[in-house]
Formats: sequence, structure tokens, C-alpha cells
Amino acid sequence: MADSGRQKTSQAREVMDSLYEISKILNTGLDMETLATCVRLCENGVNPEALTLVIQELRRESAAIKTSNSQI
Amino acid sequence: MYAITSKMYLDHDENFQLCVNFSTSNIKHHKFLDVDSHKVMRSVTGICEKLKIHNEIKNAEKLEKYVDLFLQIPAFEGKDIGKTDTHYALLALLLNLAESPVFADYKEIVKEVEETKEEFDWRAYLLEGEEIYVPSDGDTTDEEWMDEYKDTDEPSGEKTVVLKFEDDRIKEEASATELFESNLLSRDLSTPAESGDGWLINNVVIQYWQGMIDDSRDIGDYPSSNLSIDWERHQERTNPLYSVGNRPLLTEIQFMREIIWMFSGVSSLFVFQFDGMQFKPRNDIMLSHLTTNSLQSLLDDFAKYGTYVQVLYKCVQKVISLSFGDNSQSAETVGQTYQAFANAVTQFLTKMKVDMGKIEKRLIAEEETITMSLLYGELKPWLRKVIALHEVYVKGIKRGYGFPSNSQRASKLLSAIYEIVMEYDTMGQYAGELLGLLLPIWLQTSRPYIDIIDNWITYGTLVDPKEEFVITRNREVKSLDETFWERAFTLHASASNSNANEDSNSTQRTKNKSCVQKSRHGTAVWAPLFLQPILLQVILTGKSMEMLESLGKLADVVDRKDGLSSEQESLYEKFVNSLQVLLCTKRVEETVDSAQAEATPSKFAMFSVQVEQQMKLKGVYDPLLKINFETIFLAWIKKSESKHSEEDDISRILHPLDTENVQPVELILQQCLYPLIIERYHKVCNHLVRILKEDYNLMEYLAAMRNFFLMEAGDTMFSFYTQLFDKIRRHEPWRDVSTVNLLLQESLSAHFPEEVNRLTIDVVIQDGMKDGQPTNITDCLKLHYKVPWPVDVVINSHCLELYNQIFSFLLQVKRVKYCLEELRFKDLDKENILRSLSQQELKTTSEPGEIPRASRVHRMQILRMRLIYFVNSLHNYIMTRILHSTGLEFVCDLEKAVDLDQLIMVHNNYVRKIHERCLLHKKVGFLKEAVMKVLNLSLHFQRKWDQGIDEVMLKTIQDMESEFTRCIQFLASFLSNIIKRGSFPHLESLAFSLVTSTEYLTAFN
Repeated sequence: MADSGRQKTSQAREVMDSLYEISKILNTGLDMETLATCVRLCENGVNPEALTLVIQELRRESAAIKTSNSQI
Repeated sequence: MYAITSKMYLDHDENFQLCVNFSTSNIKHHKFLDVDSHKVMRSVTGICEKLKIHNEIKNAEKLEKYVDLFLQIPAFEGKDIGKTDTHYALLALLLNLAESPVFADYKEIVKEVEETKEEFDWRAYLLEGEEIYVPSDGDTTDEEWMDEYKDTDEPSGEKTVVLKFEDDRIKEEASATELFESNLLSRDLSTPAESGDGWLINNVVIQYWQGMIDDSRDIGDYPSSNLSIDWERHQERTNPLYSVGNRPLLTEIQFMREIIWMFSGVSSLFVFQFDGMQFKPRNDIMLSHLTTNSLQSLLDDFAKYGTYVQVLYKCVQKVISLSFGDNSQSAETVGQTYQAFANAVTQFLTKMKVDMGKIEKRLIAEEETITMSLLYGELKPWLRKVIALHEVYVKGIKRGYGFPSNSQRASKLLSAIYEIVMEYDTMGQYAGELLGLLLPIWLQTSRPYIDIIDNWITYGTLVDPKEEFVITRNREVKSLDETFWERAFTLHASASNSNANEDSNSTQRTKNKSCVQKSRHGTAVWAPLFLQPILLQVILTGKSMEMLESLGKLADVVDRKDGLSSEQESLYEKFVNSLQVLLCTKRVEETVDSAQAEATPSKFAMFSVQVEQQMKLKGVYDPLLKINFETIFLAWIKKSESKHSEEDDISRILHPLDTENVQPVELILQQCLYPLIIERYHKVCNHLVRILKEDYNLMEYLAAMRNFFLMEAGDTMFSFYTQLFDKIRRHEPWRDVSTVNLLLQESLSAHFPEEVNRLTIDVVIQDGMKDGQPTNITDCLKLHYKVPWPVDVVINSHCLELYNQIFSFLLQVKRVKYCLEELRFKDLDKENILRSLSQQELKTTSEPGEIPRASRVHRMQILRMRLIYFVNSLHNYIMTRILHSTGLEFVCDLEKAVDLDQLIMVHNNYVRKIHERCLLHKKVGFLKEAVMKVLNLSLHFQRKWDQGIDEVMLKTIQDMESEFTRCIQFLASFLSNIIKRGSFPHLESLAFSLVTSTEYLTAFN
């Protein structure tokens, strides 16, 4: 039991590492934490394109708010 | 689920709900198609190609690799195979999010990749729970810990950086690092809850040194492991005021590792706090299965030893810093003895550290049970050694700080080690291993000292740059000085202490080397203990060497065959070798020798081809030259090789010393060190004495002193003084240098023509001499004898002064004797023409008691004979009993003298003895007074005699008779008393002759 559990953990770890690498090469701008959230979302069946849209939208909005804040 | 949004709008609460709504609606009500795996793979390959086109092949390959890897891992949807929809969905997500991967910062990515790779290593490393950590230096520990700490957190730290970069990609690298640091710091303070850190915290040792506390405080299965907690609870229950506080709970392994670090010389520890002087265990820590009190008592013990170790480290550091630092500013210098000691201690500490490292590895491995008490037992042998060394430090160095000079400190240290070695030596079996430690340390420490001695007694040079040898060369005394032997070398201590202790101590410490007894007392104070029995020989040998050097005869005793071809064994090596022979541990040396013998042939072809060609080409090819070169170079190579391995050799030689069969240390010294020095001493001193006797004619000079000053050359001196006395008697002028010298040279030329140049006589007329007694008339004559340099060390000016006093005295006696002997009867009997006239007139008025002339003449003659008898016995006594027999003894002693010191001593004793026996010493002043009275009386008598009997009244004769009798009786009774006591056997004959001369008086009376 313990062995399989440890194996799973290590696999998950590997998955996360690989994904993180890919995301870095592709310059997605995601950090480990966000990536982990995304992975969990996708696992639960969220459409990746929809998620992409949400992330990009949110980024744009937050950037806009930031610039407006700095202008003020 | 909303981590991403919450992260972004952390400070925009009003917008947060908007975002949530937007996200939920988008995710739930989208109109996108499901992920197409083929499409995803196509775009991946497309990006790879694109990267390749942009000449970023590495990135392309990596991307491919990671995508493959990712797809292979079965992680999602509970399936055992990879390439599920989730995989592709994730890839699609990333691809969609991708922002111009071609133009992304290439460097950064590479760095990240490397770091990530390291992360795996760190994890594997840290998963073991304990890191192997052998501190190299006491001071760096803190930083190392910090480094370790940083290393541990580096991966998560980098993640933070990336997160920041996301917002601001234009930021420079430099500002990025600042950011990184600030992030790291802020993260240090707040307890991290993020995924990476959380993982780390669960898997890495609690940073108890940072004040972190393991909250879990797991309760073990065994009741004994909860002893501490149970006890505290009990305390809390029973004592309402008891408060525990929040104490870090450490494991026993942590305690033990801290102990081991402490013994490895680390000063900044958590469990033990070093306050600059000593270690103290912290009292706010706890161990799960020990109560605080028992823990403290256990730790106290360790702390004590830790303090000792730290003190030793500090001592070594101080010595090193003083010897390599800028010594020009600080007055304090460190002697070689200290350096040698520091070196020996360092060797010990290094070995201890290695051993500690081994124990620590065993602790880390956790394969066997080690508790603190077990550790204590295991460290026991080391701890005993530490105690011994600390004792050495306290006795040798700490107490030596007060001494002003290096020599005192060095002696103190050497004596202290020696004392402690002796102390443990007497303990026998119990301290066997301590002796095994201390003896090599002592040997190493004494090496500079022995080397100094070696240089001094072997080559005649006192090389003592740090002034730590107990003897120093007195620079004021040149070697061509008659006081060389006495003052050329002085004790360091006497120089520095003479101001402080002007009282009795200074006389004890000041060294008067002419006198053996004194020097024995003087040097004993500051010489190292082990050297004291042999110090005198060392000094004599050293001085003899210096003397030989200035005589240019050094080559005779320094058997320096060829500086290059044969390396001479130094005294220290000889000492150690003989020590080995004594202890039967010679085998190591032999193997070394054989190894060297094997190594030499291979080195034979040492000339490069070019050199050989050159030698042949230029027509200077000379096989002999080549052979010579080869031997020289070979010797050099050998030498340099041996230099390299010297350090190892010494320790290798010293350490196999089998202390099992060590005899008492004193015996070791007697058998190993002293014979070497004594051998050298005999060789050098004998040679010096031989040179002085043979090449510098010491014996002839001494004979000349006796011949002329003590008038052993009777005929020569007789012809000199008779002429002189005649002149005095005839009242001719004689008190000028030329006359006297002429007389002397005339008499010398007959038998000692070669001495004419050396012997001169001087007339020194002092005030008060003219109106003195008639005997003192010759005191103005001073003999001068030119004594060349090396001999004047023996026959110094003080001796010459004494010789001269004796000469004057002899001259007085001789003069009286001569005067009395020269009296003629007819002079006494002659008629005084002037007087006879008036006498006839006065005949009638002459005194009634006046006896006839003939009887007066008779009395005068009797008196003369008595005087002559006295003077003759005195003369006999002096010339035969004293000068001759003492001279024979002296010659006998001279033959026996083995070193110059004895030679000087024998001569001084001789001169002193004859000076005393000639009644010139103050002690026998009253005797001399009586004798001088008689002598003066004799001269007075001689004048009266020459005037003729008619001038002599009966009363004058009676006066003279009575005074003479008084003197004689006094002398006779005094001397016979002395003889009865038997204390002065040499006076026997004189006393006897005097007693016989007084006997008739007593018979008559």
C-alpha cells in the first residue's frame, strides 16, 4: 500500500515537473502553483480552451487595473 | 479551485466576485470543442520546428523530450497508461497560453532546467533526513549553516522569482537577484504554507537552531521515551508556579552531533553556547527521554571537554596568526618552540577531528544504537588526551604569558611538557596511551630547541632568530677578547631580570661562567628541565665551538664531508633514531630506506637530450664533468625529495614508538640524547684544549709565568735582582723604566732570548709609597708579559695582577735575604773615624749600662744569624713548599682538564692558592703583618750594620731583638696552633723552623 502510494506521489511529481518544464519552454508565464490549479481543473474536465480564455482575460484585466492604478 | 483568481486579485475584493462569476460562466458555458490529440501533437511538432528554425535546437529537443515524458506517465483518470485526454488537455492549455516561445529568454530557461535537475538531487539527499557535515573550521559554521539553509530552499526561491518575472519581464538580472533575496528573507519569517516549502518542511530536519519547534512532539510507543514530558506534566500539576516555556525538543542524535561538532572545534553551536571563554550547555532545550536536570549534568561534562578543545584551537590559532601575521607592529613574537607545539597539537586535533567524523558518519547511518552515555564512553580515550593536553597548555603556555622573553616562555613550555610526561610516566600502565601521545608531542616541541643546540655545538653558530634559547651571544664581546670565555654568552633571563631583581636573585641568575658552581646554579633557573643535567656541557661545547671558529680551526671538528653528497644527520634525527633503537621500533625506517634505494636508479637519466648534445657539440664534452654533475644533481634531488617527505617521516617515525616497553623517560634521555651531546662535548672540548696546548703553546706560557713571576728560573731572575738590589744598596738611581728593563733584558738574554720581547717591566710610582716601609721600595716594579689572544682567556689580566702581587712579595723576601747575606763582618767592625774622635771624648760620659763593643758586635752577629735563619726558612717555605709543590699539582691538574672551562678553573685555583699561601690574602693579613715587620726589621738591621758597630747603641739592638722575638713567637705560636688543628699542612715546615728558632730562647730564659 505504502509503496503504491509513494509511487503515485513520485509520478505526480514527475508530471508536474515535466509540465512545468514545457510551460517554461513555451513561455506560458504560469508558475508552479497556478499550473497545479490548472492541472486539477483539467483533470476535472474543464475545457482547456475555455480555461485559456479565462486566464488570458483575467491577466489582461488585472494588467489594466494595475496600469490604471499606477496612473492614478 | 479559485487559487489563480484569488492570487491575482488579492487586493481587489470588489473585483474578485466579478472574476469568479466570469470564470465560472466561461468554464461552464463555453462553446469550444473537446481537445483533439492529433491537433495538439501537430502544434507541438510545429512549435519544435519553429524553434529549430530559430536556431534553438536545444529548446526544441527539450520540449520534445518533456512532452514525450509527460505523455508516458500514467497519472490521470485513474488509468495505468499515459496519453489520456487529460494529458492532451493540459498540453492544449499550455499551447494556448504560450506566448512567443521563440523570443523567450533562452538563458533563463537553461538555468531553470539545471536548477530543476539539482532539485532532484537535493530531494534525494534531504530525504535521508540528516546531512553529512564535517565542519572544516570553527568560524565558518554559521555561514555554512546559512549556506545549507539557502541551498535547501533554493528551488522554491527560484519559483518565486519566476512568479515575479511573470509580471515584469523587462526587469534586469541584477534587480532580479535583489528581488530573489528579499523574497527569500520575507519567506524566512513567515511560516511557509506553499506546496514546495510545505513538502520541504515535512521532509527536512526541523531547523531547531533557528528557533523552530517541532509541534508534533510525537509521543513514542515506549513510556521511557516520554519521560521528559511526563515529568513536566507532573511538575505542572504539583507546582502551580512552574512554567516550562516553549522549549525546542531535540533528538538525541542531534545532541550527539552537536557534541561531535564541538569536539571538532566548532564554536558556534546551538546546544552549547560559547562565551569566549568556555562552553555552557543551553538550559532551554529538552530531550524526550531525559529530565532537564539529568540532561544538563550530562551536557555539562561534555561542555567542559569542549572548552578544553576550544582552548587548544584558540591557542593554535593565536600561534599561527602571530607567526604569519605582521610582526613588525606587535612586539610579541612567537618562538619556534611554540610553533612546533602548535603543530603537534594541530596534528592531534586533526586526528581527533577525523575520528569525530567517523563517529558522526556512524550516527548518520543510524545502523547501530548510540546513546550519549555510549558516546561518552567511546570518547573517553580522546577526552583523557584532551585533559592532558589542556594541562600542558595551562602549565606551559598560559602561565608563561607573563614572561617577558621568548626564551623563558619556551623553557617554561618545554619544562611543563617534560614534567607532565614524567608525571604520567610514573603512573605506569595507567597512562600508557597518554604517554604515547605526550611523548611525541614533547619530542616535536623540543625539536627547535634541540636544533638550536645542534647548530651551536656542531657548526658553532648560534642560530636563534626568535631568541628563545636560554643562552644568547653577547654582542658587545668580540671573540678576540680575553673576557670572551666569561662574557661572550649570557642567559636571556639574566639580561631581562637584572633590572627587576637587583637583590640576591640577580646574583643567582647572572651567569659567571668562569666559575662552574655558580653557572650550575645560574642556568638551572631558566633552562628547560630536560636540558638541565646536560646544559653545562652544551654551553661549554658551544663556547668551544665559537672559540675554535675564531681561531680558524673550525674545520677540524666540523666533519662536514661534503655538503651535497652526504646529508649529515642532525642531532635531532640521531636522537630520534637512537630512541627507536631503544624502543625496538626501527623497522619503519628500514622500509623507507629501501624505498629510497629503489627510487634512485630510475632518476639516473636526468639530463635532457639537449643538454647532452650541447655538451658534446661545443667540444667541452668531459665524461668526468658529467659524472660530477650527475652526483651533484642526484644528491640535490635526493635532498629535495627527503625534504618533501620529512614532515611525514617525522610523524611516521614518532608514532610507531611503542610505548609499551618504554623505560622511564629520564632513562630514555640519558641513553639517547645525552650521549650524543656528551660525545660532541668531549670531541670539541678536547680538541680545543689540545689546540690551545699544542698550537698556541699554552703550557709554555704558563711555564713562563712561573719562571718569571714566581722566579722559578732562579739564575735569570737572580742575575736581575742582585744587580737591582746592588743599585738600591749603593743608592744609585734605579727607578726608571729603561734601567730596569735593561737589567731585565740582560739577564733574560742569557737563557731566554725569545722572551726578551714579551717580558717588560714597568715602574709605577704611587703616592704614599715613598714614605712607606723600606721593604716596599721594590713594589713599584711591575712585570708585564704579553699574552696573545687565545691564551689570555686562561691567563687573564686578573691573574696577571695576582701574579704581580706575588712577584712583589717574592722580590721583597729575596731582597731581605740578599741584603742579610751580603753583610760583611768588617763593615760592622769598621772604625768610624768621625765618630771615634768624639767617642773618645765621650767615653767617660758613656752610659753606665753600655756593654763593651765586642759583645755588641757579637749580639749583632747573633741577631743577624737569627734573622737570616728566619728569612731563609720563609724563603724556603715559599719557594719549595708553596710555589714548587703547588706548581706540580697544577701541572697535574692541567693534564686532567678536559675542557677550557676546567683549564681556566684549574689555573685560577692555582693562582689563588699561591696568592693565599704567600700570605697575600686579606684573610691572613695579620700573619703577613708580622712577617713584614721582621722583613722591615731586617732591612733596618742591614742599614745599622753597614753603619758600623759604633753607631749602634745597645738599646737599639735590644729593641730589635725584642721586636724580632715577639714577631717570631707570635708567628711560631700561631702557626703551631694551626698545625695542631691540621688545617694547613703546607705551613708545617715553616712553623717547625720557627718553633725551633724560638726554642733556644725559652731554653735560655
